[in-house]
Amino acid sequence: MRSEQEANRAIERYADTVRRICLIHLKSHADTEDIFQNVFLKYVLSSAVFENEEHEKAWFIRVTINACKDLLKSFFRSRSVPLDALAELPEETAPDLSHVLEAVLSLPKKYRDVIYLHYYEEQSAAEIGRILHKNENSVYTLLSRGRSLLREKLGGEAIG
Amino acid sequence: MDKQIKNAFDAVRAEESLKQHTKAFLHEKMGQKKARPAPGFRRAATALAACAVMLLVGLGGYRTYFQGVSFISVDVNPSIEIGVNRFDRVVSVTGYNEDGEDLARSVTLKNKTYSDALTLLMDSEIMATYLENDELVTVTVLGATDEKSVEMLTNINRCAYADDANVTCRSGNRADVAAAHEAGLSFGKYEAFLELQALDPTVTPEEVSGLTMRQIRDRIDALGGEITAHPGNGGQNGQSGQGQGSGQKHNGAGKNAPDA
Repeated sequence: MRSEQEANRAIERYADTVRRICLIHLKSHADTEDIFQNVFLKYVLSSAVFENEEHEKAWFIRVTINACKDLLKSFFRSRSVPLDALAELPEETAPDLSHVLEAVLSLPKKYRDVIYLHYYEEQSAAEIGRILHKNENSVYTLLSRGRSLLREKLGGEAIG
Repeated sequence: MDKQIKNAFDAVRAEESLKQHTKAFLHEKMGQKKARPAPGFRRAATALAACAVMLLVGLGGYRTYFQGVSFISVDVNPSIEIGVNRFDRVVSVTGYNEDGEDLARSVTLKNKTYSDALTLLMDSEIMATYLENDELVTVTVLGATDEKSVEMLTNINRCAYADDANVTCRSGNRADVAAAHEAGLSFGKYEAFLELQALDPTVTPEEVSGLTMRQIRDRIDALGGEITAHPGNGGQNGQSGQGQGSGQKHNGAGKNAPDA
């Protein structure tokens, strides 16, 4: 079991990453708080040894995505698209960027992780494949379709 | 556009409250995990090791855990004293009047950290009623050392209830403890009594015992006493109470801890 000091360090370092993934998947603050507790408790109990910070971050991303999916699978959870999560965004989020987030969150679930991991975390298709347990070609396909959908939603603006 | 996506996500940050709640949750869980035996062979090994440790440490260990080394007096009209061991866990709760005993019985504080215990106490129905009725609540801290007092006071001042205008958090005076208990008062209330007695030498501990902190404070104010211990009557805040208390606590260094 890791120490409380290690747990606090991990929270300070990865809380923003976990929060962003929660935003992609969840619609309520209470669910986000559940995921935070679940993910960081797993970290505390995990005996995994990380080779470097990238490795550790990839672990947090994978565990958070899985935790969100598990929570959404739960019978009692609603399955609505998490657009109302936008209402809980910090006020300082630039208003001219909220439509971009809204567009990403309105994508079908299967594209959201890929878009986030590619554009924000700058992960390669191979790395995304490892995190999401998909083969590399599937990641390319999801990325390409997700990008087309985003382009439509954002009025045909160029996407890199 | 990819930069816009990056910037949009970059603006999403974990709220400070979310981080703090997670830390508090882990703190609690880690405390439980440490106390819970492991399954199978490891459980037996752990039990054996625990027995060996118990044999070695024996009564000393027991006393170390269950001995209160720091104390917190919470006074409204109910007066209670909370004993805290060296691991910051509550090991005793003593009511100093009938209302105090009722309050002590209404919430389970033992084995909780003092921060959690005070939060639970302040959120309790009984305390909520007092606060709604504009009563004054004084939380007086007496750490095992001066440094511990400062640490405890800092932790307590971070709690939400410390922001309530009717709640004062301060350091106590170790020299007053024995006399307070002899007089049948908690040390927090006893300090208010001393303050009142300085202005009105005829006042007795028995008389003060039946008064609320608000009534004591009103009498001090009526007699023209300095407003040192409560923000509600002088526009000062909990920090000023801390400063005042911190000054006092040096007077009594070296005396025994309360026998709570």
